[in-house]
Amino acid sequence: MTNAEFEILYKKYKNRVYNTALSYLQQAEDAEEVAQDVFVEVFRSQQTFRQEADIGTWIYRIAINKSLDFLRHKTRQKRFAFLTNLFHQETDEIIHDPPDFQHPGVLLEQKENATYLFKALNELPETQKTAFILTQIEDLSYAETAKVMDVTVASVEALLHRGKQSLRKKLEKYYRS
Amino acid sequence: MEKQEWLNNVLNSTQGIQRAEAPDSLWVKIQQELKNEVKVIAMVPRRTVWLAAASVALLILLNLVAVRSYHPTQKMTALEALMAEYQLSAENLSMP
Repeated sequence: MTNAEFEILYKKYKNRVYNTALSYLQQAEDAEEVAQDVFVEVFRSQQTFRQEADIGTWIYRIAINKSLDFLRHKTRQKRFAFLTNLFHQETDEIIHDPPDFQHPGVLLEQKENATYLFKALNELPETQKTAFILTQIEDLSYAETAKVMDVTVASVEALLHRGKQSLRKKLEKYYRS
Repeated sequence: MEKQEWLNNVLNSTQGIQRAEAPDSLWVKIQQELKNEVKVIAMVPRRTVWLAAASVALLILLNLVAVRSYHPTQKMTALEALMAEYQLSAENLSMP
């Protein structure tokens, strides 16, 4: 792949990769870091990419794996934070607990609701979270999602159904009558 | 608002969501990282590093195996071998 070809690929997928990472990590700086890693990996692994596979599917897979790895690393850091300083020495802000996430692409009238949704989304198991992000936020079809997740369409439907049920339960604690 | 209605609204709050746009600085950072990586690769190929690491690991493993299986054996001197072959003992050899 030449640099020009790589740039075309980057322009085509940059927002999908960044948006996927942002949905998982819910922090712009982290999403940028992961997106950077994804494209470096794409460039580095271009020889191993099987031509019969869809390149979009392949890039989505890398983005999801990198995002999940980043999240796992962050979770370990959070656990360790209990043994270290919880607050920033100069600003007294909590280091490991970011503020509520507001996705920049959500409609203005849905901002508050979406904030609750993203909070609850963080508590879902990885596969349910991935099915929800790909179908509801990335707007992929069930068939496309199944390809990316390497499962059947029926599995995607089941994961999404269970994910939504679980989200309902988790969201109840935010409900104020 | 009813609880169920609220839950439905929250679950559907991503409808009509626009994709967030990647920051402009991302491309420059990727290019920079790829350049840095090329420099490192030029210095020491990844395969060589792995090969060296595997060789060192194998060497350590073989040494450990060798040390563990080492049992000192008693070496016979030429005289002792001769005595054993002809079934001689120290008493037989003593001169009158």
